[in-house]
Amino acid sequence: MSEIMQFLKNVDEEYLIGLSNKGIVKRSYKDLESVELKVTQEGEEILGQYDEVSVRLKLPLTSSTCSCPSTSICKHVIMTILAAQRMAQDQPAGEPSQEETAPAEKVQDDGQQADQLMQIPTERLRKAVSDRDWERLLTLTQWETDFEISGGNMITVRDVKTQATVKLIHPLELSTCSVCHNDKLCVHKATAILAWQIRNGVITPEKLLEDAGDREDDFDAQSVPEVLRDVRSQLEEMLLAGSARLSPETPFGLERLALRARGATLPNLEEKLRVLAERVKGYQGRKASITASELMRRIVDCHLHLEKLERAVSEGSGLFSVAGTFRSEYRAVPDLMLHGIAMREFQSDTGYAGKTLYFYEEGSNSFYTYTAVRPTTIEKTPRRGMGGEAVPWNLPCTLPQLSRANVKLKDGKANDEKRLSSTSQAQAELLSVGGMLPDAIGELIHDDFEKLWRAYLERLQKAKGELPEAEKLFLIRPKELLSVEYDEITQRSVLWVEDQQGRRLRGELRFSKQEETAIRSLERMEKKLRKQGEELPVFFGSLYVDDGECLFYPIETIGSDRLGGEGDA
Amino acid sequence: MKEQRIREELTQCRELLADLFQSGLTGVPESLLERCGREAKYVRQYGMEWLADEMTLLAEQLEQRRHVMGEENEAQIVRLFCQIETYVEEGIRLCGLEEAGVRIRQKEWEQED
Repeated sequence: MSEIMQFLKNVDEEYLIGLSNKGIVKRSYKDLESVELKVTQEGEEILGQYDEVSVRLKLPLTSSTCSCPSTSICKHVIMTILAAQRMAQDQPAGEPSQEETAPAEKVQDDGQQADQLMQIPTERLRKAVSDRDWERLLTLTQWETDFEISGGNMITVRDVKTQATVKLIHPLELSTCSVCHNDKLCVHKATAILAWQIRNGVITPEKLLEDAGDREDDFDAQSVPEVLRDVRSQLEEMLLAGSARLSPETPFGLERLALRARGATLPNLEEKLRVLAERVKGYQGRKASITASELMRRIVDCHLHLEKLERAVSEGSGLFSVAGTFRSEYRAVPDLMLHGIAMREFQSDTGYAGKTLYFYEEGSNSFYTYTAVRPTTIEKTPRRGMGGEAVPWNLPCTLPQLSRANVKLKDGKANDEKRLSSTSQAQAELLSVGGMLPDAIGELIHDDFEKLWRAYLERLQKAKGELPEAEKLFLIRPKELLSVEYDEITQRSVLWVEDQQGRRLRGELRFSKQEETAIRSLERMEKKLRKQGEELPVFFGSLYVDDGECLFYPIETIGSDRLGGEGDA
Repeated sequence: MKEQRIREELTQCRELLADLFQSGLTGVPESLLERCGREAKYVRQYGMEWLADEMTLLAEQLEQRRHVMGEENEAQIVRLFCQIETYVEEGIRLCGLEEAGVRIRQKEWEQED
């Protein structure tokens, strides 16, 4: 059997999806049933012909051609692959062909695949991705938990966070990626190979970080110690002088140091200094939310980080990982099926206002957010189409409609915190507004508060620090709503809910102009439930711990008109 | 609840540290130094030996600082202060989580009225 036929026998549906996309593969299966596709073999090429379309398959499959106008892998190519696979299965297994005895490179079997993948040097992977992506890989990836790896004819690596699925095969040009759909060694393939190598003990995450130490030549040997010395002096001065005697110049001094930290490629220090400068301004401006205790926390946090940096400099290693990476970028994500579930207005202390939209994403069974934000110092009220109330991806609807819409997003981008970008490169299709949410969302609904708490703790442990916004989101289906009361003194609306086992959870909404409608609607809901005995909705909100208590912040309620399935999370 | 009592004690320590920070570590009044000593005693009763020792040491160094000037001494005080603050903050966070877990598991815990 020829090399190409041997290869095609091993190709599965996931590989084809990586080559094109899910829609094209589905369509190809369907169309193949109704058309007469003639497949012939010409040496190491396979020809497909039907109607006026001619396809020429060759290895790597991404170099196959089709006479149709499509510039990427079209359904005709996929149909020809499927038809050729059927042909290969019909060929007698034991019959040796001329090609099989030829010394040409063969597609490797399982063991050889693994061996070849293990031998790919880190340096080759390093060169395939940008500096920023490499930094992110080394500092943010949790190699043990972020990947699902399975063997078989091809090695499948699924990135749980980005949902990218990579089918690894040697030579690498034959591998596919569900995000990039090309034969190049992309960041997803490089990550998948690293994950595979780490899982098989070829390399350790520690060794990777150690190797990254070579990049410490990138740090300026003179400016880094100088910046650290001046930051230390500033922080010590603040603690020794005391909050009451901080100079009005302090925030500006901190901002200048932040700029210098940026220049010295110390992103984490830069961010901490900027936050500290903001807090000092707030404290000196007598902002009630910024207490001496809060200010002290920020200074100590900065000081701790400074000590880590100083240690790394004196030991001559580890500076790269302690210094951190600049703000996480929006990166390509696989096609997303988004279902709008909520919208929340906000106004920040730092002069921004806007709306956050929350989506349930079917493929990953998780939540994504999109934020439309505007600076309130420039725009008091939102303007359409000017970045304020602008609807992303040129969708023909308003933001409130989008918050209940079902949207198919192709070529979209999101950051590590699952915040969607409004990139104009994305193509979105508005499928409908409202309607039932997919049954799979039921798996995310918690009706047992102890399990809810355990799920929260698990996320907290996985995050190894503060949870990103999307990770705080939960769907809660209580058995009973005990009360909704507005406390005039604390200006908070407090609601108590109870689960089947009688465990209680408290929800809180602080009064603000933006939350007024939500507070009123909660009160109305409680009255309605008491009078008419209606079914309790599912609460969508974020969980947090305050003063030794687990609390939730309700963002939206979802009724039976949108939710069908039972919760079993 | 044990976790709650420890958290409350650690919160007291945090308040003391905030007061030290407000006054500035170079000019801590006598009353705050006395509070440092008292807090060290309380936290020792809760079994937090490390914290008790460090609080005592901080009080001594702050007292010394009133008589001896020197950059080295100041850097040492700042480092000690930051270490204590970090310990206290992490303690409050962990106790808060423990406490929240215990509370949510309790079937009929009283609403706080």
